[in-house]
Amino acid sequence: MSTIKLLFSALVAASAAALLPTSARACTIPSTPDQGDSFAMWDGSGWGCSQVFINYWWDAFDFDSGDWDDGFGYEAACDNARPLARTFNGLYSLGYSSTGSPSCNSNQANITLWAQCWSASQIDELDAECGSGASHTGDAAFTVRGVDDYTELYWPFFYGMPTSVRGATIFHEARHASGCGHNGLYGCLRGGSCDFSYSDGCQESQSQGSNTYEVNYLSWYLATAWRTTQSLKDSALMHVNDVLQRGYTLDPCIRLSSNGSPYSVC
Amino acid sequence: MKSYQGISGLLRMRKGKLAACICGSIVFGGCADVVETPPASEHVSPPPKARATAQEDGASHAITSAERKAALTAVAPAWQARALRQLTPELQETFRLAGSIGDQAGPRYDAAVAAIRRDAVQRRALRAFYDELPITSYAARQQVVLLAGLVGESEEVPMLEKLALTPLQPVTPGSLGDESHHQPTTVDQESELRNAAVVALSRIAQRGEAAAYESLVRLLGNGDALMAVLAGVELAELGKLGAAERSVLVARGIRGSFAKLDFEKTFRIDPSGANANVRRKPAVPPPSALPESLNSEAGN
Repeated sequence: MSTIKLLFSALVAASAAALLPTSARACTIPSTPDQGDSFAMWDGSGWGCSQVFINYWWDAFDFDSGDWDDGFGYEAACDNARPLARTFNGLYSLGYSSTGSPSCNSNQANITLWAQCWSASQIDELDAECGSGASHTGDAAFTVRGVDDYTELYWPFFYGMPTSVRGATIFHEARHASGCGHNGLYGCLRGGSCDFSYSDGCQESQSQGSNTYEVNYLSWYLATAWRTTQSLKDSALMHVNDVLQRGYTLDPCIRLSSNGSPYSVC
Repeated sequence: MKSYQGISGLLRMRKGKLAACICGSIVFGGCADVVETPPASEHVSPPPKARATAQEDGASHAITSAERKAALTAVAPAWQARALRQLTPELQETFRLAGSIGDQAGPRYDAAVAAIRRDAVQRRALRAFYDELPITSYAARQQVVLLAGLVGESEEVPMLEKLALTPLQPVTPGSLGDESHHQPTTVDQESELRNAAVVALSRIAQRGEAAAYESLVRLLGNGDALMAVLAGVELAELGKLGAAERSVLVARGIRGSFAKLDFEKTFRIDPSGANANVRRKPAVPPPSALPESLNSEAGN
């Protein structure tokens, strides 16, 4: 087990404790964190921890070494147990599940073809934090807009999601970064991160929100991803139906069947 | 659970900024003004410290066999290592293949699944493994449930139906943080597990198992509303949502048409959305995926 301890002195930590978010604490990498990541990276089909991909993601999503060191993976970008490699694997799923040559043309109906490029253009920088420090509690990701824009990824993102859902989460956060905060407050069944409706999910304007972007992306993933496995697609399916069931104040009345077809249910 | 925060989020300090703030005077909120000045080399592609460790000597794709083996064996799947050791090698390999991405990912995984499906011993091992998993091993449970849908027969139906009937804990909005949208994501995990159980039942029913079909019908009446709707969708997909089944749903106040929707119209990103097509940063064309042959040889 590796323990990540952030760099601050005990003396300062004591005086600054009131300032520290829960993320600024020690967190521990799970002893058995795989979730198929080793095969997303290695063994013939993966991205092979290629420097070409690392360079692209590092620049396009504006990773900073200071946000990914101290055990988060900057020193070992190929270590699938660490947050950085697991983020790279999620980005590979986001960009390369339906095609080997993704594009930046967002006029294409098939979102999976351009979701990676669009996400990179919207997210100002991608950072890592402990968050809850647990795989299945607390936020998975968080996007801040203002004077300083950034997107943070937390433990549930790294260790609680398969790569297919990690990719969709990046796309979800990119919608936030584009200027769209959830407008449903706590009014949905999951009690937070709620879009008001399927077509109206932004605080800033009446337009599709992050949940709808995520649902749309995953639906296209289910329909067109072929450089993936049925297991990763089924993980995406159970997640997208959960968002449709519990992520809207007004039920969008859509559910996906086991073969990815949308049905009207209201 | 994803969340979003507006300008109030500036008061949250990030890891990188924490160190910079501590080096100077500690002022509430002052860290938001700290400008990170990474070494110039960080802007040079590739960032030297972020290199793949196996490539630090400059060798292209020079992942050694030992390193590859370590990546595949030292990092065990996301469930208890003790439980993992009780799995058969075939099941372990299938779970690992489940995470593959690439040209051959689907066919290889499908072949592994087909072998498990033909082997009753493997299916028994899968059920025994599930029974031993702690309830909080969500990732492992989800993997087992999804695989059970792909390989299962009537023996798997009771476990899946029981899972689909598990009550979902209500989320109390008042228990959530008032700033960020903190979520008890264990409820999300349970919800997704239940969804997976319904999908698994449907997949088994599609292979002709009457017990799975009958289970879906029971869920129309016995499951909570979320599960009843999902069971209705699967029965519609199977072409078996008849008048009798619909009447069960209607009696519960579920009056949907359960008609298939137009895919492209339903899942279309609205380009008129706020800033949807406004690029904040220049679009950088992504690289193409590695040729299969190049990567497949990397660890051999």
